[in-house]
Amino acid sequence: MCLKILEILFVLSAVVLTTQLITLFFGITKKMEPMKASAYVSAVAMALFIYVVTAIGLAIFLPSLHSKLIMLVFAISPFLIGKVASYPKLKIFSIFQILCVIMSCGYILTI
Amino acid sequence: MRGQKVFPEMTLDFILKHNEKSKGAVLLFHGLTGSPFELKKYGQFLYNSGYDVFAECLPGHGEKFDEIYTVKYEDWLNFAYSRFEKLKSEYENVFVSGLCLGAVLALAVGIKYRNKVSGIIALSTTLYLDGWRLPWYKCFMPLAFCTILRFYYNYPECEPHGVKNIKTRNAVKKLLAKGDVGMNDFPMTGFRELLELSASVRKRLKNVVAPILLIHSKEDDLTSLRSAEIVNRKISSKDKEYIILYDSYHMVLYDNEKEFVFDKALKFLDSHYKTSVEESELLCV
Repeated sequence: MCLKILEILFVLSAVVLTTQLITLFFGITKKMEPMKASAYVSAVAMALFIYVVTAIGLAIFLPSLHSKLIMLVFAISPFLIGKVASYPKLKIFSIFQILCVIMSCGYILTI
Repeated sequence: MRGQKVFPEMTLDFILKHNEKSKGAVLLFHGLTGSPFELKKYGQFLYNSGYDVFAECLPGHGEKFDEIYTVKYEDWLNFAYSRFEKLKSEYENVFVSGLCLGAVLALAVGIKYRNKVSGIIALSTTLYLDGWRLPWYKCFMPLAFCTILRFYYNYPECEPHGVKNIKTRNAVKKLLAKGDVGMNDFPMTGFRELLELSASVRKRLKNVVAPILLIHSKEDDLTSLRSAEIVNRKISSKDKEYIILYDSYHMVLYDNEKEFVFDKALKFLDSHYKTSVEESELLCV
């Protein structure tokens, strides 16, 4: 039951996060008022927080060691990408981050 | 006293230098996303009181806004150190002073050149971002710092713009709207570098031995009194003065108590500069 709830929460957060990251990628915040743009990015951070927490939860509760490891990698991927990302190559790293979230969502849906 | 005033074109840097011998040099550092413009009145006041004043744009705060996304706090440190070394080779008395990030840099200079700095004036020292103006969702800041979100997040300059005085606030608002005296946003990358610099300075505060004047507003909207209190508690300076302002926000050089701040700074400088005569007398003793 707990695992099912975590899976649903994870998929939901991944879908929301992917949408938000894509909108960020296409510069939605540049068209917003500054305060709204700042609140929007904070909302993305919130979704990312839920994504990471649920990914860690799944890494704990999933039965196979293989799945645990994969979920752990997905959980820390935003920090790994953030660590190596640089402003001049932001677009590339953003695409990479979006792909990671999509792949993690696909993985959970297929297992 | 007549002297040389240099306001180079296309930059907000300024050098206010007397032709005859001055009491000493004061190196000023501006705040995060600010520019030397915010130090101009302060610099002019110190210049009129007999000091040579130097203020330049910090790395990442030039004409290109994007530079703030790539600048590292080490760049700020190297900039501050090199400017101090240059002045020290020319002047006997070199004081450092700064506002916000500038105050942290002044402390960093005080740490590295502990026996060479004549005195430090730290205004609105920003070791923590815990002021009342920051929004509730600032708790997500650490998460954004570690991910690519830091490049997307800009916290906008908003009311009260660090100023309690309504008239001055409106003037600041107009200047910011023009966009040529500072940035309209605080980029998360800038916040991150500021906090990393602050953490590095916090660890070495005990190495500060130079005379120091700390001025901080109780109602500072960007950073609470905690920052100044930590500096006051941890430094090793025997000669230290800590002043709390009660009618200003973050930009103490423009707010209701600016004259008081200017006077205190001048009294501090005047009581700590050494003349060559005094030094030779000391040597004789």
